[in-house]
Amino acid sequence: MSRLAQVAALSAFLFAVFAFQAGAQSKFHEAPALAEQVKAGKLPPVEQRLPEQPLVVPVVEKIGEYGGIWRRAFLGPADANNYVRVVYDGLFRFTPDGADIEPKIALGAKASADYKIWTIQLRKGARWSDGEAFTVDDILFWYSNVLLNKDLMPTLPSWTRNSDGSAMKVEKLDDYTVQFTYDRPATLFLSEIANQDGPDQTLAMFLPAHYLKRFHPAFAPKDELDRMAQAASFKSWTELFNAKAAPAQDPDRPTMAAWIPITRVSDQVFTLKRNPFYIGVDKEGNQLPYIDELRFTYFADQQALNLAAIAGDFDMQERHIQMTNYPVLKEQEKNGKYRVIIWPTFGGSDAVIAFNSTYTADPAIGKLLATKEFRIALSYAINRDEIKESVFLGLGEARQPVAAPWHPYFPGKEWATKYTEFDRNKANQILDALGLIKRDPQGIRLMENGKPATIEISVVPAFGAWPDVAQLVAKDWGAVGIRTIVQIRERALHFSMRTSNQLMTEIWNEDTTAFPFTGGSKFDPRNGPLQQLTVGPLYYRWLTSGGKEGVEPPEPQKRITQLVDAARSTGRDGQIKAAQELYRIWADDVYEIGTIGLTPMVQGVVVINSKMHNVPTTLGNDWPLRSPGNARTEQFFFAK
Amino acid sequence: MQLDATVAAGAVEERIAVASNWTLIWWRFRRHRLALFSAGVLICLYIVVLCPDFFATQDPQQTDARQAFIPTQPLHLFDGGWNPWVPAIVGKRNPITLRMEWTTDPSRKTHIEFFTHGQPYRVLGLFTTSIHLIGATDPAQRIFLLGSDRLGRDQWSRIMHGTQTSMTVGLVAVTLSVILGVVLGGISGYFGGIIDQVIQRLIELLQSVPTIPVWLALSAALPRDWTPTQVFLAITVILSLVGWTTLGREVRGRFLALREEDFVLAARLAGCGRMRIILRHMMPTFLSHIIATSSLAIPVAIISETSLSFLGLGIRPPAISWGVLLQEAQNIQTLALAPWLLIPGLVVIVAVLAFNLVGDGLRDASDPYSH
Amino acid sequence: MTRYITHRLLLLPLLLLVYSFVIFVIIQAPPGDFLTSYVATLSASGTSISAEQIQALRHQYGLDQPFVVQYLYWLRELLHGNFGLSLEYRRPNADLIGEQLGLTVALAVMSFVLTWIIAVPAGIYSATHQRSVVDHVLTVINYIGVATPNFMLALILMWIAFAYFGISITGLYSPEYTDAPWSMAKFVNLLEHIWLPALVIGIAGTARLTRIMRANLLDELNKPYVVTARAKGLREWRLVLRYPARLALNPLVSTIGWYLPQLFSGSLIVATVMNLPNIGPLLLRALINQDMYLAGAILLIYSFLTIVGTLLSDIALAMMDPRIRMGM
Repeated sequence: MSRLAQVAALSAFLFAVFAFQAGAQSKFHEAPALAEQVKAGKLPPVEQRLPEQPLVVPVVEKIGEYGGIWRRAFLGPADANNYVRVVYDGLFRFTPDGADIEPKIALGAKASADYKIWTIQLRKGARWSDGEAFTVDDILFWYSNVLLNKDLMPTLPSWTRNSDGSAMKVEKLDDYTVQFTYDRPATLFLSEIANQDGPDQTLAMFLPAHYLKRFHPAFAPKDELDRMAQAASFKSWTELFNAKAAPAQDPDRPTMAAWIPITRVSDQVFTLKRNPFYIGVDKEGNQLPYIDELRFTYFADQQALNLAAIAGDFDMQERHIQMTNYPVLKEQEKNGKYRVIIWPTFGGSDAVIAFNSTYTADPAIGKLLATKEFRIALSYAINRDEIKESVFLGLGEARQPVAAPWHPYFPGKEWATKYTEFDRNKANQILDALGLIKRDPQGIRLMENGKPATIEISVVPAFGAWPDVAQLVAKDWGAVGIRTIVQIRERALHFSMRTSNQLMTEIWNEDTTAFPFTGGSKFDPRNGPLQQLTVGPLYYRWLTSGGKEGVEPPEPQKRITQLVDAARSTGRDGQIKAAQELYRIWADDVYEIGTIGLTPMVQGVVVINSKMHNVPTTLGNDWPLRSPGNARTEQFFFAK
Repeated sequence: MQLDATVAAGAVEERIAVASNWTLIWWRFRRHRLALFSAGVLICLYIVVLCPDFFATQDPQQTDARQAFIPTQPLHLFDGGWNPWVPAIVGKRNPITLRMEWTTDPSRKTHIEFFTHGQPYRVLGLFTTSIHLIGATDPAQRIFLLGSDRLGRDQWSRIMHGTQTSMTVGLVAVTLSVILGVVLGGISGYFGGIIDQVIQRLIELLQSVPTIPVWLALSAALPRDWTPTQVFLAITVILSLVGWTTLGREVRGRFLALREEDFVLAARLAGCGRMRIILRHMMPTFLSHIIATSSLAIPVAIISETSLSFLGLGIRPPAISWGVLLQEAQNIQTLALAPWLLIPGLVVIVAVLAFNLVGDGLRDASDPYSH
Repeated sequence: MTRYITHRLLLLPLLLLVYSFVIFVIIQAPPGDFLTSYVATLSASGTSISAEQIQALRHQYGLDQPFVVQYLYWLRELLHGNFGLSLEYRRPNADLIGEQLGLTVALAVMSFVLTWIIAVPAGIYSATHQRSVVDHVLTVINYIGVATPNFMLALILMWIAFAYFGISITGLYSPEYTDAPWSMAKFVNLLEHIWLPALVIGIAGTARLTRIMRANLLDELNKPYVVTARAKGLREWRLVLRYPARLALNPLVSTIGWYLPQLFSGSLIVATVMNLPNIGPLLLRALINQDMYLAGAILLIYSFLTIVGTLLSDIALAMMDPRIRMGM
């Protein structure tokens, strides 16, 4: 080659190298504090910290600025899910509108045509918060040493089970590809793993193998483990392992979330700091999160928490904010410290009265409770307008506990509002037709055995509003001749009575209506009275004992179990059809009478610091969505 | 003249000399103005206890969503002559803050009258009547002399019914406590030795077990079909079994000191039995102390009921007591939007004040050494 | 006297054993256990947990064992000096209690000092100036203090402080100082926050003490020896303070031993409402959530302090009143 050509080639080459470097340098940006650490040599540069294909997070309003401390409040270690929701550290996560699932830590997923084999792709170059590589080995560690370990998991969770009860197979295809194999179609696989982010007292499906190995008997000597357990006052290595694997309890445990704990959930202030190895960036290449620090302050009392929120002590708080404080918050809004928005519940009904169709302590009442027409009559007897005005601030609408109108599972307006008209005459007619014609001197209808019809509503003052709903309902039912006693009970007592089939009716809310087939579905009678309301504790016993104990469920309930099973093996359209049928059955048979729904009762009133941006004004608000996690909290920021 | 005055003075002295102990106490009590006035207040409260429905203007459980959080309605007595009325009110929900806002409508008046006919009720379970002290002339209208709560219930009527429950419970609990405390404390102090030791250890055991877990356990253990009031009376009785210990210890302390006094020795030598010595000779010396302590115990019982209802362990809705009313007012929504719902607190304070002043007066009056 | 004390001290372990059983029964008596309460809490905050998970946890925590086995296990751990693990916090109970101890004692001591400093002089003044205007005013103020349920006062004062003064008083420190190391600034911050809770907690106690002090002193002032001393020309204040006041304190001293457990547990309800890092709210939570080892540990320490406190009271009583000493 000629001399000129050589120089040109060399210059071109050097130029390309510089351009590439410059391009690489200007491709990603990081928080100033991290940049300093890189300069000091404590951290690798940002390109090396991010995976090859980082998670690109869309912003709600605009690209953000780095900095700030996000102050929140929590009620103690039992409120660890407060933190879990905010970070939503999962392989996949739900979108803000709750309609779809998008990849987060994982890069993507593919299913075989029959949905029996799922392949998940991880991000090459992704790292844990301590810098170690995040690979398929971390998922395999969970599979071989946690899921299949009888001490840590005595029973397999339903989503990991094959049709014969054995565990699904998980295999490593390469460092960043993992395959899940079932012997039956698993169409809801993605919905299930979008909830395997390690909520309180549960282990996530991906664990830092390099850190947890020394707490597991497969890798560490038994007596060493026993010694460590003893030193921490634990009874066995399983408790020690669980404590070390929970990020909220062990700040040394590496995580993949945007913020990593530096104190514990059992401290007065639970603090989290930015994760320098977080896999997310915005579309301009700024490494997320924008916010430096997350600070949860402990409150012993919910009233004190609400007072602090009204005083503007928090930057974005929706959890434990009582709906009844909305007027006060809105009035204080004019001081300019914060703004208040509403995220209504994602469907369902915020106060339902569940009837126990298998109540045995009093056969006459039990028979009535199990009679569909009786429930229909009582549904007509309720003045829902009064409940809406006095308990729910006039918000929401009268509806049965079915999916939300904007969700594909919505069964139709006719079913959503079935039996919700306030019609005392109709109620009286139906009750008369049931044979409850005779009345006692106080006007209470007499049952077949001559005793006055008396129903007990058991209610826990969990959201404050329910005892009021109970009293209004009791008054309405009294007006049609059914004496109703409201029993306000303490939580644990109420729950233990529910599991032992001692409740006649109870008031609770019905949410998770967008997820009737996954996880602890509240509509599947096979999930038992810990998940489901007191619709039929003895049905559960019948279904799980193979028909030997309990009471056989009626046809509609059996049909529901069939629908749930069917949905697990059909595609999206099949699931939509199955869900709609399920909700039509649910509304038609009124196992639970819905009153008002779509209110901001549960975590629906949001107090946001005026300086905080990128918080969506509408959001799917539900536990499986891990709201506010599905709002993509890593792109919230403080404007200066 | 002088002779008359001397004779008159002599007559008065003689009256005092021959008057019985209780007459003397009454005369001395009469002079304590504040105590007398408080006794009057207590009597009024107990009249309400006997017949709350007469004083209530309507059914305390009647709700109406459209009439929630109405402020107190001022009572006007004259409208061109004697014609009591309250202003009519119009309410509307603020569309932004969702707060119920009430304004008075000066053009409309709700007329009220005294001894009006309203909802029928039973008096002490004996006979039925429908006369109420005060009420709207048109029985279909509702008046809210002390405002309404979040469900639209009339607070005035609820306070009347709450008075009945709270005052009864206080009295019952304390009576039992006092009896137990004096008897057991006295025995412990007088006999000493092993009996004293056993009773003291029992007192320690009862004292060191804090009341709240006892309540949690008991509220779970009681039969489920008992009405809320029955449940609470039962628990109150049991609480009083724990509450006698303070008085017991103090009585014992006094007894230990008094045992060695001369008059006790004299009584023993005169052949008095032990019980007689305790009850007739030793007890009157610290009767005033017992009265002072028990007059403070009734309001303590009332406050205990309030605290426990606050925790959800005492009387619960729909039963009504002062504690329930305060518990329902114990939140920011009430403090910020409806502060008149704290009025039951004032009623509690007045009742407790009255009890304490009466107790003070009784103590001063029954003290044999003061004049 | 020494014999008496040793006799009582020997009884101590036996009593503690009895108490431990009673406490365990009471904690376990409400139906359900920690996990039932935990599931209920989760449910009430819009969360769920699968039945298999509950079963695994129940086995892990040993809650599926019969009552006696659980009690004996607890007893064995106690005898080894191990207070056990909190089911909710997942940390050793000794650590949890130790962390809260300092502030609990500080708050209790401050309330105690406030109470006695106000009550004793007020009681003496009231008794010596009976029926005067000041006496009546003090009486009425006292009774109002007793009558007002102090937790209610707590929330009202907190709201007033915010609504009218713009101060947010929740907790013992401003957020910046909560986990910061000790410094002069932090101490000042603590004082700024602690006066309100100490006042609220102390109010009821002040009223009661004043009344009893007044009643006792009135009894003493009418005794013949006082008349004699006055006749002999002793000045009023010297007279009152030297003899009747000391004797009037007698019944109060017998209750002083009970302040010892109070120091430890603090005021349950007020501390919860005012969000103070105290052992009182810790105990309340543990009881409501059935966190049995934590509740048991706190209650047992509380019982121990009660026994010791009573013993100290009795010794103090004997020392102050020779008549009792002679009767021992």
